[in-house]
Amino acid sequence: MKAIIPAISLFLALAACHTAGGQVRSVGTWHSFKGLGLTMQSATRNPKETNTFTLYAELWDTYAGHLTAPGGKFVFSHNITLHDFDAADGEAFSLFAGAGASAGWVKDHGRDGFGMMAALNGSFGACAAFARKHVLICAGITLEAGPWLHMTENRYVVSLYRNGIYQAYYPYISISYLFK
Amino acid sequence: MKKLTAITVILMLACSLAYCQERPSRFHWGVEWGYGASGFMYWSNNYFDAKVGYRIWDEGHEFAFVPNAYAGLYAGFDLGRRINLSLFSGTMGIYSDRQVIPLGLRATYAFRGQDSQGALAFLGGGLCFHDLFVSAPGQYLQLGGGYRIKLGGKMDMDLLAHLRACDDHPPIWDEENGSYVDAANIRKNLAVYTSFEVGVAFRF
Repeated sequence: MKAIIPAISLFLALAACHTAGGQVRSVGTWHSFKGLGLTMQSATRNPKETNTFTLYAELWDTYAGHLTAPGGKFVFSHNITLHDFDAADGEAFSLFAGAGASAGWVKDHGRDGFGMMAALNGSFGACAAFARKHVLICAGITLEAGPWLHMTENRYVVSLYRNGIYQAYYPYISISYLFK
Repeated sequence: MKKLTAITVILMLACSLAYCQERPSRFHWGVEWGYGASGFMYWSNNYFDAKVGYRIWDEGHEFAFVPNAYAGLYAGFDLGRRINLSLFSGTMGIYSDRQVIPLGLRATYAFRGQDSQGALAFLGGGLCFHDLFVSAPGQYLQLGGGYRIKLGGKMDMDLLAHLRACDDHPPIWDEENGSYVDAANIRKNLAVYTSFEVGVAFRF
């Protein structure tokens, strides 16, 4: 729990730096069966590409009714627009795919306790931008493949991070304030 | 889970049928989810302890922080320019290790009209079903408000906050015997949970 405040501070500092550079496209909340968090999308030189930074508390077991301390995860994804649908009246719809990296202090499927995970990720989803209302809504899924480092019987063990694959089909939705 | 699936299918069928009607503008459906934390809790249990041979009366209250979440679908009609009445169901966490399936009605008053951007107030209530313990369903009551953002077309986004009180009839854990009290030995098992929730709804 003590790590949550520094993690959020780091995320906000990152957001502030990007805002100062005029790169931030949106800032908002991230919702999923996996957890609840903050997300930020920044623009790149290529208008078809964006970078997404997400920091969330892992709450899947809390949603399932079991009260436990949450883990935390940071996810970076470089997203490429696959298709832009016809936009009208300030509304824009697009499909995207992305790749990036994730790292966090999390629990894993069928295992006790927390461990450190680091993984490569791939995302696929859709975004709806309502420019007149300054609202950006994105929904998608993310697959993570990588190791999970944890301590068991006083020794460190590295194993596959199962939830990265088992929870890949858990959809997420982000609701953000869209800057002009 | 079967109840939840059945309710979801019924709601989706209702949505589909209603969309075929000539006046779709008065019909609205939506998806809603949110997060909250329980606060005040009251319980009153009365059961027969077969081991000691007499009736146990246990009553009390406490303030406990228990995070939870809810999600569901709703569908309903605008009864007037400002009032909408909807049926809501889904899944609702009400306490630690306690999730229920709500089925209730909610009246929403939109101060500037249901089809306008602006503030909302709502009052809802209904029954809470639990799969794991066969008993009388619980009840819930919610009172809240929010703000509707017209995103464009037929899509609105509601930012919501509400207070919720829910009574429940959970199984009774007997610490001395290390097991749940047999349902036949329970005369009363009442728990009341209150919580504050914030949520988001997409309304179509």
